[in-house]
Amino acid sequence: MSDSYQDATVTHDRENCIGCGMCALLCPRYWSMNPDDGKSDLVDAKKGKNLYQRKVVHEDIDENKAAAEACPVNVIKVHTK
Amino acid sequence: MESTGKKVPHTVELMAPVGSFESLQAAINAGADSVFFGITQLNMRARAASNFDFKDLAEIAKISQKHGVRTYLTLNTLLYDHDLKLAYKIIDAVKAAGIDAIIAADMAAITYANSIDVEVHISTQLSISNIESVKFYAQYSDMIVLARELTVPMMKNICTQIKEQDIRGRNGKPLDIEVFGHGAMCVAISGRCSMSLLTDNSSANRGACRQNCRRSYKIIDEQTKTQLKVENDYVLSPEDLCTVGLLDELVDAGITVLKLEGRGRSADYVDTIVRVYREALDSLNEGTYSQEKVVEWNKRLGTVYNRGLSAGFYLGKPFVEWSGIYGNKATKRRELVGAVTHYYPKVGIAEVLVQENPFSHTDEYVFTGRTTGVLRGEKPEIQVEGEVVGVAQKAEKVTFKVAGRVREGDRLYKIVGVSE
Repeated sequence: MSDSYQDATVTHDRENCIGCGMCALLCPRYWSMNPDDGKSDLVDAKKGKNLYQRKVVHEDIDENKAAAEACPVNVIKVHTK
Repeated sequence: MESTGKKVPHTVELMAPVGSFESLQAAINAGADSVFFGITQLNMRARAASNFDFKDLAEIAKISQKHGVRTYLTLNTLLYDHDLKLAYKIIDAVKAAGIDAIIAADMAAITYANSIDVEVHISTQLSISNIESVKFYAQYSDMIVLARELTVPMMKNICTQIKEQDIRGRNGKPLDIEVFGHGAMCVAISGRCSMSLLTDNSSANRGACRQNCRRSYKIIDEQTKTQLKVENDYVLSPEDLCTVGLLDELVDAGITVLKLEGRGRSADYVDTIVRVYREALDSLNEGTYSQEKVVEWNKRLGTVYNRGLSAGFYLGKPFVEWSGIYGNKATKRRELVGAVTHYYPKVGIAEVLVQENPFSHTDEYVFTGRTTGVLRGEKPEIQVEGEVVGVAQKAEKVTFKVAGRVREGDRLYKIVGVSE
């Protein structure tokens, strides 16, 4: 099975987010701006040691990758394996 | 030393950049009258590794107040709607912690601070360049930072008008005028640049500038394929601002605050620039400001991080010089030796574990630490295991007498010359 049919894990180093809003613009079903501290939230993510993370189904990987690519401080990562 | 005899009495406030407790202590020890710093992502150094947090505000205020140093928090990015709650929370925290003022550019921050009586300084991000703008923003603030693109006569005119028209700040006192004295310059109007946003989605106006202007570029005529030679390829990277040589003119113009830029820089950088400008400002009061001193000050400023030093736009040049280099032109750099493992206060001796680079009895050195700030020295009489040695190697514990107190965990660097 090729990678593109696998689900992915998306992680968010929220602490270093600078609240530019790009992820929420490009991938609104997964990302939203939190008005309490001006940073973005990865919807339904669980907090690990330092990162927030959640599974993403393969149809939604590209949209999350677009968010990751647009992030000016590289705090969003999409892990496909 | 021969003085020009020019005495320019003044009470100009010297403001230092602070990105860590180390730098804060260094700025205080070096003679700063005030410091500025940022917390969270809403400041123009949002990317900097060394920003403070909410929990640090009370301590910053306490340490600074003890030394009579005023504290200003930068909250000068553009604010989006989703930032407002955080911005208000920061301003509330400034008030609660006893920080003296915020430096702001967005009316959302300015009007909120006004509403809870937190002092406001108008950031250079608003590019205030004429007396009418000054008058307008004086309604909301007590200090205005002028645009870095003004010339000294333009600044002088504004300061004179403030006196003549008796323009006062919100606090009822004559409005303070601040200008940049030293540090980085922008190819665009101070931070109001979209280059980083366009290329990297990373907005300079949100404190996330990628500084891609600092790289080298080639300009090629697509039609003829001729490459334009523009002195060098750093066609977007201006040299840094340095005003120690025109400080007499700046002070004479009537400015009341001189800001040194560099919140992302190290504590020894802060130490060096604050000491130099402190001496320069003091010498104007004493009437001992001289060209010989300017030469020496410039030399000292050249030892720490710089992209080449120029007078920026202050002397009315059509454009500033290009830096001609990527990054640093400093004539000296520091190399980590190791960390302090013990200090013997009665005899004033430091014990350092050499972890990175060997340490020699001929070295010039600097300690930096959270409480120590910066402590310099040279030609240490070093001992290893009680024996006098010439050089202490890695993994050895070296002891030597130091001029002041250092503390366990402080880092020791040696200062080495950079060959051309």
